[in-house]
Amino acid sequence: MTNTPDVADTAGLDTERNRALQREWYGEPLGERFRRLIEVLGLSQSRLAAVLGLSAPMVSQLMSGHRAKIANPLVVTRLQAVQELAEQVVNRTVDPIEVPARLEQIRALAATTTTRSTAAAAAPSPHRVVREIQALLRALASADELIAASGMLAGAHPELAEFLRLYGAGRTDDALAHYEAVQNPG
Amino acid sequence: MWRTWDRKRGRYLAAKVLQQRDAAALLRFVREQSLRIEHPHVLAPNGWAAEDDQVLFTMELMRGGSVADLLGDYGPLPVDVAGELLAQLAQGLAAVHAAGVVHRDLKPANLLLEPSGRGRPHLRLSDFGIAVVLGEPRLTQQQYVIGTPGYFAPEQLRGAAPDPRQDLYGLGVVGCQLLSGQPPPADPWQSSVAPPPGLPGPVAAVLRRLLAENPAERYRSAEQAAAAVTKAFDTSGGEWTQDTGEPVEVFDHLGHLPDGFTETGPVPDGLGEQVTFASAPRSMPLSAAGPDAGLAATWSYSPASRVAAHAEGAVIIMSNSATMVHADLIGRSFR
Repeated sequence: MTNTPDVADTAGLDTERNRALQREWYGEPLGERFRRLIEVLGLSQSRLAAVLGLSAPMVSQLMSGHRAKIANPLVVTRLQAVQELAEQVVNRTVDPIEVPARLEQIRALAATTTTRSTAAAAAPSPHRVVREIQALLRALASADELIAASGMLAGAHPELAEFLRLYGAGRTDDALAHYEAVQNPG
Repeated sequence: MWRTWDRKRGRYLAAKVLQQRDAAALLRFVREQSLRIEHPHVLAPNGWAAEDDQVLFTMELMRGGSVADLLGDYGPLPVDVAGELLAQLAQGLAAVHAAGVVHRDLKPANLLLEPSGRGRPHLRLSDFGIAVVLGEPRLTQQQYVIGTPGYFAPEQLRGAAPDPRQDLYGLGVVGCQLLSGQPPPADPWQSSVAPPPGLPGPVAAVLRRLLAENPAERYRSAEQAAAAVTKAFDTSGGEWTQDTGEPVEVFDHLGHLPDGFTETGPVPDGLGEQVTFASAPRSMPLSAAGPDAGLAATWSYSPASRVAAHAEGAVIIMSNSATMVHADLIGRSFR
C-alpha cells in the first residue's frame, strides 16, 4: 500500500505509540482485538470490515498501528456490539448458528443511533452491565443452582428470586428488559 | 467493477458489465461523440464492447475508493474536506450540464476518489447509468421515478422532466450527508433533508438553497453553486483533519494484482496470458466469470454474432486478430 509515507525509522516508533494508545482507548491493540473477533466469529478480515462499516485499507491501518483511532463513532458502536456477540459465543449464550443474522443487524446499525450510542459509550451500556451481572452470577453458581436458590427465595423475597432467575438462568433480553425497568421506573 | 488490462494502451482500466436492458442509456451516452466529457472531476466511461445481452464499459481506474467508503471510515467529515469535495462535485456537474446531460444519481457511492493520502482530496463524479441527454426525444413514457430514494428532488417525484437543477438538489443532499455522516431518509415522501445543526451560517445557507423545494429558488447553475460552496466553506487553508486532529486520509483501495498479472500487464505464458489465444471464437458470459472465478475470463467476438467493439479512445483490449476481443478480467472485482 502506498498510503503511509512514514520515514522508516520513525514508523516503528509511531506504530508502537499507536498500539499503546489503542490499549488505553480500546483495552487492547486493535490488531489483537480484530484477530480474536475474526477467529471467534469465524469471519474473514474483509467480512469484519464490512460489518464494522470500515474500508479494507482502514482495517489494515488500524490493525498494523499505522493509525491509532477509530475515527467514525458509529464504527466504535458496531465494534462494541461485535465484541459483545463474540463474548456471548464464547460463553455459549448465543448459538453460533445465529451469528450471521446478528452480524447483519450490527452492520445495519444506522447512523441515526450515533448520538445516542456515543453518549452511552461514556457510561457502560445497559447491555454490558447486564452481561457483567450474568457473568458474575454464573461464576459463583451454575444455572441449576441459581434456579434452585431462586425457588428457595420465592416465598419470602420474590423480587430477589426473580433477579436470580432472570440474570442467573434467563435470556439476556429478559434480563435487559428487567434492568431497564428497574433503572427507569414508570 | 473489474480491473481490466487494456492491451491497446498498455494499462489497467476499470470495467463494468451491465445487462443490455440496463445499458441502453449508458451506451447512447458513450456512443455520442459530442458527449465525451473531459474534466478533472468527471469519470465517464470511454470505451465499450457488447455481446448478446451484455455490455462492458471501461473507464479510467480510480484507486481511492468512493466517498461512501470515506464516510464509513471517518463518519461526519470536517467542513474543509466536505467543502472541497462538494466544490469539486459542483465543478464536475457544471461540465456534465454543459454537455447537455443530467446525471440524476448523485450519491456518495458514485463519487470516486484518487488515493490522495493526507493531502487535498480529489473527487470524480462517476456512474452515468441513468443519466439523460437533454433535448433527446424520450422514447418511453416514464412510469416510475428513476434514482436513489432520498437523493432525488421533490419535483422528480412528481414526474418532472429531467432538469440540471435536479442535480443541484442532489448536491445539497450529498453536502448534508458529508457533514452529518448520515444518509438522507430513504422514504422520499417524508424526505425533508436539512443541514445538520451546528454548521457555520454561510455553509448551512448554501445547503438550504441547494435543497429548495422550488427548483427556481436553487442556484441557477452548477457553476454558480460551485462558486457559492467555495466561498462559504472556505477550503483555502484546508488541513484535512478532523476536530480530534485525526487526518482524513484517502487510502489506496486496490489490492495487489493476482498471480499472472504485473503492473505491465499479464505475465507472458502466465495464467493471465491464456486468454490471448482462444483459437476459436468462444463465447463466455461475463457474469459466469463472477467475482470469485478464476484469474481471467475470455470474452470473444465473432463477426457473425451481434457484437461490436468501440475502438476509439482507451478501449478494450483488442488482440491482433480483428475477429476477437478480449477482456482480461482479473478474477476479483474491486467494488
